[in-house]
Amino acid sequence: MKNAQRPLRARGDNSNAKCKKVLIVDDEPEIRAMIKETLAIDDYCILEADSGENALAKVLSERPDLVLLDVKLPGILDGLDVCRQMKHNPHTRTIPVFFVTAIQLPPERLKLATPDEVFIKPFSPISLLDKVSEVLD
Amino acid sequence: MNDKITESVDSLLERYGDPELRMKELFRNYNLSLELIKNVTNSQDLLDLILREYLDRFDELPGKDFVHPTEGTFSIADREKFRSLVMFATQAILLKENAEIFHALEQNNQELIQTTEELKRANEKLKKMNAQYLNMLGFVSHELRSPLISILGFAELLDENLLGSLNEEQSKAIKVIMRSTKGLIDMIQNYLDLAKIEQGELKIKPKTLELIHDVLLPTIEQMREQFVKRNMAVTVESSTEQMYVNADEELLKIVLVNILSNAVKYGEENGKVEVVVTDRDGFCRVSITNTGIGVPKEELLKIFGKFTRLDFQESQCSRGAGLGLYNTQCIIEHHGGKIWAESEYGKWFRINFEIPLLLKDVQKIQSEDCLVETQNSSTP
Repeated sequence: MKNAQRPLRARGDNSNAKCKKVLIVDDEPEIRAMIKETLAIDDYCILEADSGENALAKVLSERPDLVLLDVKLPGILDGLDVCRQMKHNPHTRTIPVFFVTAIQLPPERLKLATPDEVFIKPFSPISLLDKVSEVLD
Repeated sequence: MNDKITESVDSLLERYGDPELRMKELFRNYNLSLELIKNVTNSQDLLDLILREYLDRFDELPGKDFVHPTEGTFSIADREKFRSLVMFATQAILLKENAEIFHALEQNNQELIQTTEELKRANEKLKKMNAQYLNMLGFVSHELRSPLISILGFAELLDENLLGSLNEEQSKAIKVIMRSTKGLIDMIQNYLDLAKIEQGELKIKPKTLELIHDVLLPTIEQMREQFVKRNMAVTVESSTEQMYVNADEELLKIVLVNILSNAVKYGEENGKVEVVVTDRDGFCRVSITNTGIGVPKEELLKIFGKFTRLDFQESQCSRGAGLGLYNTQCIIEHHGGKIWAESEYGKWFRINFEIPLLLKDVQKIQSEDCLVETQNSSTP
């Protein structure tokens, strides 16, 4: 039913200045590609980052409307660090963060990072898309 | 004199230690050469030899007034002396036999020590190889996981017609891709769990948990979609409202996910899954029963084996690693609990596990805490 409401998207049409920006952070290009394809259905503008450091830089420079964040990331900052730093910075505090992770996180670690939503891989892309549109639209 | 001989035999008898040393001492006492008995292998020969030797040197023996037994009649003293000789000979035989046994034992012992050393080395090598194998298993599984998750995601987008409408055949093909990919992802998850458990990476981090609300219900909720897809009804029943255990939350979730996924996989479509939690003499027992074909009695013990796939299941569903229940058993045993299976073939299948309950007074304090909280929250 839900799908009937979704018109087939016009490919590559995310140049729209008004479109909501979603930052996908994952070190695996295949996963980024899959999420990108999913979000493109509803015409979101996609930004990508493959590490915690790149993610924070993009958050500050591009001010996305939503961040989809893998927890296990290469480099110094993992997803928990990125989320914590975003939530502590008054400029980025209000940006919603969804964890998209393969690992079941212990609740006490989640409490420290306070993401707005957690998706465990493998997740259903449709349910991700539904949640994204619920938060952004 | 006789006393002296007997005494020295007795004192030698009393002495402990190397039988060969004892024998040498004995022989020295009687001026007998060890060379004499070197080649004697049987006790009778040894006895003959010692007696002959002594009779030959009868006169040199301590005591002067004896008559040679072959040349005259035995005096009482001679009898005594002769008796001592026989005793000595018997003693010597026993000691020689002892010495032989002692040597054989020593040799066996030496061999055992050597074998143990070899086994130790082989064991070290195997451990190292196993660690390398587990490392590789973990690495490969991890590397495979992401592409598979991506494949599954894309397949689902196609299946939902979100990337264009599919015709019936394409739709069927996509469903096969999805099912196989899911099977592979489950399998890889099991390999990852195994690698972690066996490498000791998953050290138990126990804490106080309320099994029903902290672990069981959230896990069932997380798996709801899977039950819905096979139209299975899940019920949870408990003898008490709360069940406190000291356990690792993450590991306990792996246990429940493994058992419940098996129920989804092998239980009958439109069937029932019953979860029953009971308090059993200091243990919290969880029984998970599903309707369906079940497992024949003779196969029940096998299901906890490592890499076990039951033959009769092959036709039923896609392949797996055969690790889920092995991992589950490892985790339960790490918690000081036990796990077992029951089934009535053709009707139902049940997995039970038990883990120790928290001490009663600890529980009481905690439930009182809860009580206070609820009261407080209702007062304003």
